[in-house]
This record gives sequence, C-alpha cells and structure tokens, in this order.
Amino acid sequence: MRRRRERLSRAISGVGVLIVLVLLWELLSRLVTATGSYHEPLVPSWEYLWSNSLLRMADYWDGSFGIPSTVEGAAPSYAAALLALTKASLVTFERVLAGVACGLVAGIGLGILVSTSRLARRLVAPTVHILRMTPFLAMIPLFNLWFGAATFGIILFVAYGVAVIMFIGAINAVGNIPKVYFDRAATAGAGVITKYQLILLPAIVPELRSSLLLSFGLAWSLVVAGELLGAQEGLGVIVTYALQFAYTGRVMIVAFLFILYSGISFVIVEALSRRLIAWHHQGTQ
Amino acid sequence: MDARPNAMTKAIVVRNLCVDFTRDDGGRVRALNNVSVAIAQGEFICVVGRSGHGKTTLLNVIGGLLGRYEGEVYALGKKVTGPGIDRGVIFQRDAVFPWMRVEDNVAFGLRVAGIPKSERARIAREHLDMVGLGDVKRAWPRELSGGMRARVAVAGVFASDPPILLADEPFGALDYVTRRQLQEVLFQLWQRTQKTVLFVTHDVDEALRLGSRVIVISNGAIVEDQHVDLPPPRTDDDLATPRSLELKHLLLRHIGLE
Amino acid sequence: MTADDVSAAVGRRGKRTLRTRDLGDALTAPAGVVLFLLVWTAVASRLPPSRLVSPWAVAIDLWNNFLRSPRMAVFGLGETGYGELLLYTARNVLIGFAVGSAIGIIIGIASARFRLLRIIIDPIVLVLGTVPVLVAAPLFLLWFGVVPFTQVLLVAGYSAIMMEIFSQAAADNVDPVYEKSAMTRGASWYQRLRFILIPGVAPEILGGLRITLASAWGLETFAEILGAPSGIGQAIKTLTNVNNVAGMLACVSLVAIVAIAADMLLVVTNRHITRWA
Repeated sequence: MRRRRERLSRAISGVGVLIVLVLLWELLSRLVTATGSYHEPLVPSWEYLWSNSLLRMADYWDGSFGIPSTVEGAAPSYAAALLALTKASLVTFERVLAGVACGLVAGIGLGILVSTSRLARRLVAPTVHILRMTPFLAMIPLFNLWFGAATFGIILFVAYGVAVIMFIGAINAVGNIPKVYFDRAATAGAGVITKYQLILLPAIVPELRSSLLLSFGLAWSLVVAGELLGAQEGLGVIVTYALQFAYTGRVMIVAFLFILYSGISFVIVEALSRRLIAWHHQGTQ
Repeated sequence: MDARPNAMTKAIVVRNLCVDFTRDDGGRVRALNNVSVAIAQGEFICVVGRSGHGKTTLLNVIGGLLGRYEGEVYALGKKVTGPGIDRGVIFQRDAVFPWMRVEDNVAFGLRVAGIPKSERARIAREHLDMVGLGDVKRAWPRELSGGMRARVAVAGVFASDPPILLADEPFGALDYVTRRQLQEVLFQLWQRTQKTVLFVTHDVDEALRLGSRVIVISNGAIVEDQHVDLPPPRTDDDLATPRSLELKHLLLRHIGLE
Repeated sequence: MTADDVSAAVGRRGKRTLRTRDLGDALTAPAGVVLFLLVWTAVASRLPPSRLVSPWAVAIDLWNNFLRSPRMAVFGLGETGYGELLLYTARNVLIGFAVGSAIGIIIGIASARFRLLRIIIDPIVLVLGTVPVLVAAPLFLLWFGVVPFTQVLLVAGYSAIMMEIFSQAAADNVDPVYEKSAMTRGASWYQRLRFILIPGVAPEILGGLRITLASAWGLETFAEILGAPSGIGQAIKTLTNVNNVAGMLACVSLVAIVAIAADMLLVVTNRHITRWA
C-alpha cells in the first residue's frame, strides 16, 4: 500500500513538473518575439501551436476521403490536419514495428547460432564490435544509397541497428546461463532439441528483455533520424518540409508526437514483456 | 549535557527504550518494547535471540544508526543522537571498502581523525599483524576470502580504538572453522584492550563461548540476563560441563528451540 | 586462516602464466578482423562500384583525401581534407560530451541524495529521453543556425541526460552499509562524499561514459548532415550528392576508427581507475 501511495505521489509531482514546464514555455514564447524567415515565431505560444501549426498540418493531406486538400485551394481544416498526422504516424509506426521485428529475429537467431561454437563467437567478435561502434546515424546516407529512402530502406536500417544490439545481447545471455542447468538436463537424459526448447530459450528471456527495451528505444531514434534525413512519407518528412520554411511550430508538434508515441509504446512493450519473465525476480519489480 | 551519576560508571545505559517501525502496508510494528539494560565498562555482552525479535534494532539504536526511538540511551554518559567514534561497529554485511587497499581500510578511521600518514601506517600495520594479515596489507579486498575480509573489519575497528564496540552478527556468513578462528581473534583483542563489547548473535554456542554476560531478546523484550561464570579461555570441554549445559538449555528454551 | 589463504591472496596478485588457451584467444582477434575484411572484399567484388567498393579502395580514397580534397570545395566546404573535417567533428563531440556529462553526473548524484531535486528532475529526464534529443536537432538548427554551437548543444544535452540516468542509478546502488560504516568512524559529509560516494559510483559512471560517448559520435555526425559549417557529416552529405561510395565509406570508416580508438582509451582508463573492482 505504501508503494502504491509512493507511485501516486510520484505521478502527481511528475504531472506538476510538466505543468510548470508548459507554463515556462508559454512565458518564454511571450519573451522571445523573434520570428523566422516566414514570419513564424521562433518560440510559438501554445495558442499559436493549436490554431496555426496544428491546423496547417492539413497542408500535408493529399485530399482523400472526401476531405479536400489545401493544395487544391480548400481552407485548412482540423479534420484534414488530423488525417494527415494519422497517416504519417501510421507510416512511421509501421517502420518501427517492422524494423524491430526483423531485427529481433535476425539478431537473436544469429546470436544463438553463433553461441553454439566458441571459435565462431571469437572469430565473429571483432566484426560485431566494429559494426556496433560504427555510429548507426552516420550510416543513414549509405543505407539511402543502397536501399532507397522509402519505407523499405528505413525498415532495413532499423532492422540492422536492432539486430546488432540483439545479437550482442543474445550472445551475452547465452553465455550467462548457469552451466548447472545444462548439467541437470544432461543427467535427465535430455536431447539437444529439448535443451534448446526447455532451457536455453526460457533462460535467456530476462536478459534479452533488457536488450529488447534498449533496442526499442534505439529503433525510434533510428526511424526519426532516417525520416529526418530525407524519407518520403512519415512524420519526419513533415519536419523536413517545415524546416524549409522555418515553421518552428510544426516541428514542435511532430516532436511532441514522437515523444508521446515512443513513450507509450515503450510502456506497453515493458508491461507486455514483463509477463514473459514472471518467474524471474526482475518481473516482480 | 546530561550528567547522570550512575551513567558515568556504566558504558551503556538503556532505559525504557521503545522502537516502532512502519510496515510496507502501513501497519506499525513494535520492534523493542520498554527495554532497559545497563552495561558496565569492560563487559563482553552477547545478545541472543531469534531473527526479527529486536537484537539488531537494539544494537542500531545504541550505535546511533536508528534515529527515532523513545526512551533514554546513553553511551559513556552522553545521550546517543547519532553514530560516533566512541562506538565502533562491526557490521553484519561486508563493509570493507572494495576501493581501498587493506591497510587503507584499517587506517580509514585514523585518516578521518586527521592522524598523519606515517602514524596511521604504523597503527594499521600493528593491527593487521594482530589479526594475522600482515602479509596482505597492500592487497585489494576482492583478492581476499570472506574470512580475511572479516579480519580486516575487526582490525579496522580496533585501530580506531573506540571504547565501545558493537558487533552485529559479524561472523554469521563464514564457515564454521573461520568463525571459530575469528571468535578467537576477537576475544584475544578484547582481553588485551578491555573494551566494552556488545555482540549480537543468533548462535547460542558463540554467545556462551565469548560473553561474560548473555542477554536474550524475545519479541522486543529482554527475557533473560545471565552472567556467565566460566573463566576464559573457554574450551569446548568447558562448555560441556553441567552448569554450562544448564545455561545453554535455558537459552535454547528462550529462543524456542526447546 | 592458513598459510594457504594468505599465499593464495598474494598469488592472485602475481603474474599469470601464459596458457596455450590465452595464446589461441589472442590470435583469434586479428583473425576475426582479417575475416571481416575478407568478407567485405568478397561481397564488394560481386557488386558494382556504385554500390560497394573493397576495403582497399576505401583506404586509397582515405589516403588521397585526408589532407586536401578538391571535392569538398564544390559544396562550399573549401579544399579541406577529411582530416580537418574530422577534427571539427571530434572537437564538437569532446566538448559537448565533457560539458554535458559533467552536468549530468553532478545532477544525477545530487538527485539521488536530495529527494526534492529528484522529484523535479526525474519527470523532466523521463520526458527528455533519447528520442526527443534527435527531434531537437532541427529545432536547434532553426533557433541557433548553422553554427558549431547547434551540434555541441545537441551532444551536450544528450550526454547530460544519459549521464544523469547512469549517475543516479550508480548513487542509488552504492551499498548503504559503506556509508554507515564511515559514519561510525567519524567521517564528515565531505569525507563520506570523497571516500565513499565517489569511489562507489565510479565503476557504473565510467561504464555509462563509455556508452554515452559511443552514441555521441553518431549524434554529432547526424547533426552535421542536417546542417553544419563543417565536419565529417558534411563530408558524407557532400559525397552522397555525387554518389561517391568510396568516399562515403571512407568517411564512415574514419568516424568508426575514431570512435573505436576513443572507446579503447576509455576502457584502459576505466580499468586503471577501477582496478580494485
């Protein structure tokens, strides 16, 4: 009960701090009246963000579902704005999920495979180290060149980053399984398949979970970065367009959305994955 | 400053001590209920009892590690309000600093007190020799076994020379042989320095082997307070005499094992 | 305690004898690097040079363009070579990383000790996780322009947030028994800070520094690609526009080499500082 009370008070103070930040931002927007090259304030007030930036998101709607596009001359509407943002968000989401899924399978699969041989592990180690230390973000132009800047290229990029992390995580997790579990399986006469199924796979789940949460955060960063550097479609692209006209407000709205999405999805993944490790002491925290 | 006449002759005076804790679910637990005891200077008192019955709480209050309590607790005539160099503590958990070499661990209290380097080194070396660790004074704690780290802890506390020593089940995590050896080391140091020692343990044999006086705490109250009349050093044979066994049975009864 | 115990402890501090297994381990590392280069060369030989070039071609490109590169002049960078651009990148990373980490460490440790600060800082850090640092990149560009400060601020902000999280966790993880022990030996709060807290948090913080620095390189390069007056990111961007794969790979390799070197330096430093662990 005390723990619940603590969590509640922490949530309240968290909300309180955020409210203070919101107010501070409003204050700042009043104080800083400079504008960018297209008359957009550099620090837009909340009112501006709502009435102008959000509304003008309609500019990015291509005019389906009977709601006309502003390019064709119609007045901007919140409906169009909402549709534009939703479509962009879905595209971005798809990239994150697909990238994570592919990366998980590739990384964990390869990791377990390489773990079976000590020699293989040591031979592959320098390559993995080089790949991991080469900054992912610096490789975006390369991936654009190789696989294009559309959804396919971005998914591959995300999958690559996730795979590297999960590969390393899987190797470490397999290495950390207490040997005594395998000894026990051997004395019980278990075969290879059984060992993998009933011991190795369950045993690595808690440690893999940590790598999973890490790579999930990384995936969002990679998608954002990939979209910011010239994708088509998706939330990041809105930022690219907005940058050309110094539309600070629109950049901020997308920024908020990214924070919201990555935060919520992280909480969901964390809660769901906790079910998988109910038996582990981590799962009771 | 509180100057109570009989408190001056006693090392530790506890009067009507009550300690309450709040549980996770909000309920209050009375860890110590109206405990009173007086410990004379130079005594080796063993506090025995089952886990969770209050013996560590008592030690923590006297050591000043537990802020809130009702009642009066005096150490050497002064009211206890916090930890101090007059009451050295040997902790249950391994408290040897891993980032300091053995000799620096032993000399830590001296360094804190501002004693110059050469003097510190000398005192540390002396005490390490006393516990038999002279050869490893430059070692890192991670290189030592559990028993050796326990010796470092003992050496460190004695090096700072506090008049009162509080030991909270210091040898509980060690194997039988190491425990017996460490009991011997502690006992000899006590004999040499005549400090007042309060030794908490759940091991009845250990209590009878070391203590000049044994106290039993059960459910937050003192239920037994006996002097142990056996002269030191106490061999296993001494502990097997009818009188010793009688005392042992008494203690075992109090802690519920008989 | 027997003589065996003591000699075992002393022996652990002596030299390790070289076993055959150690020798084998030492050889597989360079063998692994050779393997990496071989696979790269093999894949490159089956792809057109517009897609992938061999490591040797990359090395040649690096050599030719390190000091002076006429290519860069075409896009307004002057005739600077990769080396000078790399210097810009490295300088920004190190300044941003150092300043940001220092701030993050101090706030992190302080917030672990002072509850009021923690209540204020925790929600802010939670919101300002690592993704929002990236989205701040275009915002900073709008606010501060195409100047080094924009990138340094990004790296510093990221470092501060990461190190705050690591440092707070490290301070929380210091076993309270150490501080209690120090208190019973008469240590003042300053002495407890110096002799208990700082050594206690060192391993975790040094580990966090390593992780943070590794990502900082990518962040800086990314910010440069977005918009900067110089830097290896600008070089990559320039080379992308002319589809020069050899050059792009050369620049990426440069960043990787520097990142790996810096990481190794940190590892050596860490190992020395925490040789007691």
